[in-house]
Amino acid sequence: MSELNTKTKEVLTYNYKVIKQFSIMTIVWGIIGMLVGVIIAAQLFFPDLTYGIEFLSYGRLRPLHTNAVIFAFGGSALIGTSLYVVQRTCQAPLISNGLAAFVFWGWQLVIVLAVISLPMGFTSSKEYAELEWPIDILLGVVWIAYGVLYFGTIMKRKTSHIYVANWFYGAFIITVAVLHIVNSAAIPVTLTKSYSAYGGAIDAMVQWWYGHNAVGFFLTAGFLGMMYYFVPKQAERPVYSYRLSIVHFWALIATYMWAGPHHLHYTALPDWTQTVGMVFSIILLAPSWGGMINGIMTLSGAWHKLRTDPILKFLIVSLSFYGMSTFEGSMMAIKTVNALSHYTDWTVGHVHSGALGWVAFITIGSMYYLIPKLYGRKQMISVDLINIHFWVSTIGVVLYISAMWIAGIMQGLMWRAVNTDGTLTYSFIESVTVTYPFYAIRLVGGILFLSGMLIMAYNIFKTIQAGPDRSKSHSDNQIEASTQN
Amino acid sequence: MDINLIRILQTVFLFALFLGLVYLLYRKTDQKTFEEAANLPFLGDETSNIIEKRQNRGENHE
Repeated sequence: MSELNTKTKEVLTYNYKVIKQFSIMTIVWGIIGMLVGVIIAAQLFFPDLTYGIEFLSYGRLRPLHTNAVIFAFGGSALIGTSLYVVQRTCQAPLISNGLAAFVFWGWQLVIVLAVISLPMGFTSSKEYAELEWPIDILLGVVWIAYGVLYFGTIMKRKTSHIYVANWFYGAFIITVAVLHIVNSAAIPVTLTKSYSAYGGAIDAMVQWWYGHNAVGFFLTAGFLGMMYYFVPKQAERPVYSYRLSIVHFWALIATYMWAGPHHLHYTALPDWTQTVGMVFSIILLAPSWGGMINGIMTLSGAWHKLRTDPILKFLIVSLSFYGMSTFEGSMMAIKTVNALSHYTDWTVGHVHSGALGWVAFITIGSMYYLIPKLYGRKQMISVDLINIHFWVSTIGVVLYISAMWIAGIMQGLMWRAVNTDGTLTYSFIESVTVTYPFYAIRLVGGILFLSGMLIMAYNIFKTIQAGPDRSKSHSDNQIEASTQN
Repeated sequence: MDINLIRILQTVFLFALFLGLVYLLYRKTDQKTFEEAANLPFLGDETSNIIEKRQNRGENHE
């Protein structure tokens, strides 16, 4: 320990510029991605909303929404926070500021190309991997550059141990590279059209091996890295059990890899493969809850902080949603439950309890912690607005997911209902009719969540505008040694 | 050799590996290492009085 202390006495200059850039873009893309989400939710309630405008049709905007919230909002948040955490916990600046700039601008270029190409109708038709091959190649190059930057910094660390958050971020970076490259393998026909390198059931299996691990490593492992740094920092105490965090890591990454086939229950996929996917999805509950408990119990002995600190509320509630949606996910992966839930709005509700409740909440909490630090301030200019944001988005998520639960279960029950003579009890349109009011509730939930992001954007704008605290001497340099905790 | 036997052995091997990991982690000997590792996020907060901060946190825990 004395060795560590002497080493940290050096004045370190971290690269905060790239983190500021990614943090700002996290908010910007969050608002854009969620706005597109609100628009397509509105289209389900008002089917003629953009009638006749092909670029704004549901089929083109939906992949734009998913790409924007996952890769633009979530990706910017993950890359930004990972580069912050790796510098701080390794006590080492990034190995190259030029490479950092390349990663930032490269990532933004990928997103802009997505924003242009998806509404144009260019798509590989693979869910969450719709981008056509030239953009895929660019994404691959940027991602590898990010990996070099991240692991290069870890190699130059001044601490002996690699903090657990970096293990999660590291697994996220490596796995996403493998997933992206394997699943995007395609035979190009023209600049904007390609065909998957795989065929039939194998194509489906590769796609959902990718798809579920995008959930497992992009939306889970990466954000768990965020959790393992920002929850202890905001709670001002080390993680509940470091040992548990290591068990959590290995169990989670070993199990997630096999869960993909549960997206293909009762399809042409071999039955044993479906069973493997189901079994691993159920086992997955253990590491998921281990991690959730580790995060929440970090507050053990300091629960009172939840009463006064809205950032901590965001972080802890995100873990609650994480626990809830991982439980729900394990249950939905059971074949008999899946027979009811699959292809219904229940799935959409499940995804959003994870994506809004877990991913967005942990990101929002982390950003409220991080952004003042980056700009030399102790905290955001308005803590009250954080609190308002918390309640507005919590109500939004709850409205969203409960509407989708009711709609989804109702759809599942109606689709499977048969008369005694074996004919279907309900026509499809009857299930659409009963779903209709719940699309309105979902739309309201989505609008509330988006409003919360706008409140956040205003608060952050005002915070940056207000400048550093008077007591701080450092301006925009990245001298870390003097930053307040 | 029967393919299923290989699969069974693989499963058993991986489970043993997991148990081994848990055993290694929960041995009493490495307590200090894990405490240090868990405190890494707090490294570099006001570098000069890092030791004081550590002590303060220690008090909070009790």
